[in-house]
Amino acid sequence: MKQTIVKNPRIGEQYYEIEHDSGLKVLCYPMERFQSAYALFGTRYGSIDRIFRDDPVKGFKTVPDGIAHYLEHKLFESEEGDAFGLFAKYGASANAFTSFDRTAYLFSCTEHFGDCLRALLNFVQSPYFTEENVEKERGIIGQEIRMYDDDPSWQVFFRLLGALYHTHPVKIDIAGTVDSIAKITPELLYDCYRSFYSLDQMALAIAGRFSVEEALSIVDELCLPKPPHFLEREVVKEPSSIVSAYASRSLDVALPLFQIGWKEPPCEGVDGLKAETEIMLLLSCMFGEGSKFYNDLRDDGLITAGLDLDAMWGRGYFLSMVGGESKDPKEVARRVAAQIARQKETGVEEADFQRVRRLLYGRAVLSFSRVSDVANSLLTSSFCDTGLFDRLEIIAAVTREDLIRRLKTSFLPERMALSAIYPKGKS
Amino acid sequence: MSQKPEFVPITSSVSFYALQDDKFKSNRISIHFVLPLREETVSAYALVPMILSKGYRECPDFLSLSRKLESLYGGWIDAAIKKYGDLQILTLSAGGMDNTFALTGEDITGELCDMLCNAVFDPVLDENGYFPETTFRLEQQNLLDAIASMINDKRFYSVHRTVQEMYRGNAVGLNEYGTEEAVRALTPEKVTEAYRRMLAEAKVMIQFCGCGAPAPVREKMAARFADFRQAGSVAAAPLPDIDGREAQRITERLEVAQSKLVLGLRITPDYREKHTALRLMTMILGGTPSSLLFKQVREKQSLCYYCAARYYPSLGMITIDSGVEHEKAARAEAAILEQLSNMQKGRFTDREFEEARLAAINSYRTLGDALSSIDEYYWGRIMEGEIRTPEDMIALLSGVTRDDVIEAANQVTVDTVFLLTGQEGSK
Repeated sequence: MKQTIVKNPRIGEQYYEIEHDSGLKVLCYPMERFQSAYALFGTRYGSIDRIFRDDPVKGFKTVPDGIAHYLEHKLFESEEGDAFGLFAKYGASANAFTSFDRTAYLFSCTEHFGDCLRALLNFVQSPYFTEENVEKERGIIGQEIRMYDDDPSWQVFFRLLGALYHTHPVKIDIAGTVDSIAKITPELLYDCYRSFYSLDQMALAIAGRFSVEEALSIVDELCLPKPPHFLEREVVKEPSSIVSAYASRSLDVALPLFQIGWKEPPCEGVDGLKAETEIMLLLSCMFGEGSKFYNDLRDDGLITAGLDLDAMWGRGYFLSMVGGESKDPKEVARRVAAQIARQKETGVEEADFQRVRRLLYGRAVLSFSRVSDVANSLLTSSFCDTGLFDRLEIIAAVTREDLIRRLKTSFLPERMALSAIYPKGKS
Repeated sequence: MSQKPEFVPITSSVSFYALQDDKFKSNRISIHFVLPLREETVSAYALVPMILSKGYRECPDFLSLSRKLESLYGGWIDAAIKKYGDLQILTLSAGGMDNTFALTGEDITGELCDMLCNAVFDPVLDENGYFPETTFRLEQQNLLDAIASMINDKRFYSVHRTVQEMYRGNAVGLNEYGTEEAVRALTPEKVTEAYRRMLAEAKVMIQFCGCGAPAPVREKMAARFADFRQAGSVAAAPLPDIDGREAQRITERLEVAQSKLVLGLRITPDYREKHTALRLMTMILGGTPSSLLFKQVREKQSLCYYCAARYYPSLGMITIDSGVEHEKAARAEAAILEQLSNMQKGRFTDREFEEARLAAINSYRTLGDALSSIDEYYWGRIMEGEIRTPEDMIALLSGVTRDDVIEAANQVTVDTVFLLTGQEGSK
């Protein structure tokens, strides 16, 4: 077992990073003045992991879309009943989520931390799938899919992904479709479980009020070293071009919703975090509430509420986004494109740079205020192969020249797409 | 454990509540103006904080305001419009990172406090003393969009419609923003007049919460609010008596993939103050994944993805809501009613009772871990008129018996069944 203490003098905080003998990465961030502890046990397995092989001499296999999410639901059920009950008896709350590239199981408690951690480590390592319990879940997940079918924000986002990506599975809905989940069987779930839930693929992130010693002794007890497990994910061949510059659909919404996105070159690790930070600074500079662009859009009645600025990345994908509600998404997109062209000409002014850097620095400091945020960031940074304090340090060290350089290679006009959801009858 | 907020009266109608906890990294200051919720004034009042939060004389437009806030490490000024029984609450708040973390020694909290006071007392007015036409138009549209966009979130919309139908014809049932027609009929003159009336008639509550020192904020507030001496008191009137009527059934049709079923339950008027028993009863019925509704309607019968109960003390009601397939709505309703009947007959186990109590205790203990939740929690207690700490609430919960819960369940009656469903013949 190798233990490192990662410190940040800037905000005076620290955490423990442990390479456990089982292959599991354990991250502990004690926050003693807080009442609760929050733990996430996660694996690098999400909706994009649909083609893989677990034997070097066999071919790749494709599993049904939505299976990582289905597996997440089913792991919550053990032979004794559902896992929620294990936590309920300690008054703790439990949950789980599946994203593009990870699945995580979590609990939050104020008492019985050790019992809760034991329950978490146990149930995630005890799959129990039967014909009957897998069948029962189909109706529940079917309704979850239907719920998202009616969610305009979800729909506008996935239409954008479909417009940007040709083959990358990031464009496929995380829960799959009613048809794809119909093909999921207990055998397939066991197959995926064996491939993606080996401890060397996983991490345990804990923040809040708890004893690091106690946590590690429970990990020693319940996470046992196993022979290495072969896993190879298919590398997706995704061209740099986009599929279409425009995608739309109609739903029962009041105002059109839009999301404008740019397909950026994929990059990972600290490079990915640096790219994300610089892109967020540029987005804030060009389209944030302190930009002239935003205020012109507002004064001209094209937007009333704020714009959502975001950057998202993972294995083989990276995109920058501007979203919101507007009576005329196409006009907003036209102006956004023009603003980018202008900004590429003029570069970034020092005053704007200093302002948006402070904005992001403030946000980064405040991201260490909540137990749940810290635990989630720990897991994210572990799966992105970055350190928890890296973002803060990147913001502190970034220069105007870095932004100008990034501006040249990002936000390319030929890689921009607009996704819009229009009210019924107005598409 | 969290301490009680310090209460300091500034004048007979202005109170200041401060909660300092140095584990946080930020501060927030809220000024609440409490006014009667009336059909004829609700929309004009709603527009007031929206206009005030967008600039003041020294920072006359949204661009200069936003730039100043971004430079203060992403500080914010926000407007919120809420209701509490038959009261309308207009809130202007500001918050941001604490001075300790500033890169160049700025007094972030002091600046934000001044900005907030300037927004309240020193708005931009035109030569006739009214809000400028352009600002008014923008915020009027913003409010219209906010009202129209309620339909985007079908779950929220359906619960909102249920409340409205339960208290139709009464102030309690009014939307805190008012109606589209009322907002369209506003003018800068009418809204400026509402602003002056707010200053003249509202009861004011100021909350400070964070790691910074409250004294400098209190001094600034005491100086700015020194002349506030409104006569009389503003307190919520008893909720209207809707007892004894037949359950009403309302169906609305939209092109949705999933139906939303909401049961609005009224509480016997004499029993409405028994908050603790009602809260615990709601938790056992549908407040956690160990609740009767979750276990029976979702897990056993696979009818839905969510089925939850929520207690609204200020509205004297409970809602049960679920997202279901169109053709299974009637089955889901029957399954929900069966669980309600089980609660009333005491058909729940000691374990279900204890687990709900532990979950409630856990959530009270966790409140103090997030600035926004502890702030929101004490806001609720201030409105109730008794400042109980989370520990006081836990003590009350500990005194609730099974019989109290059964009694609480027998004091609720289905009043309104609201169904948002697809167009006739749709799947």
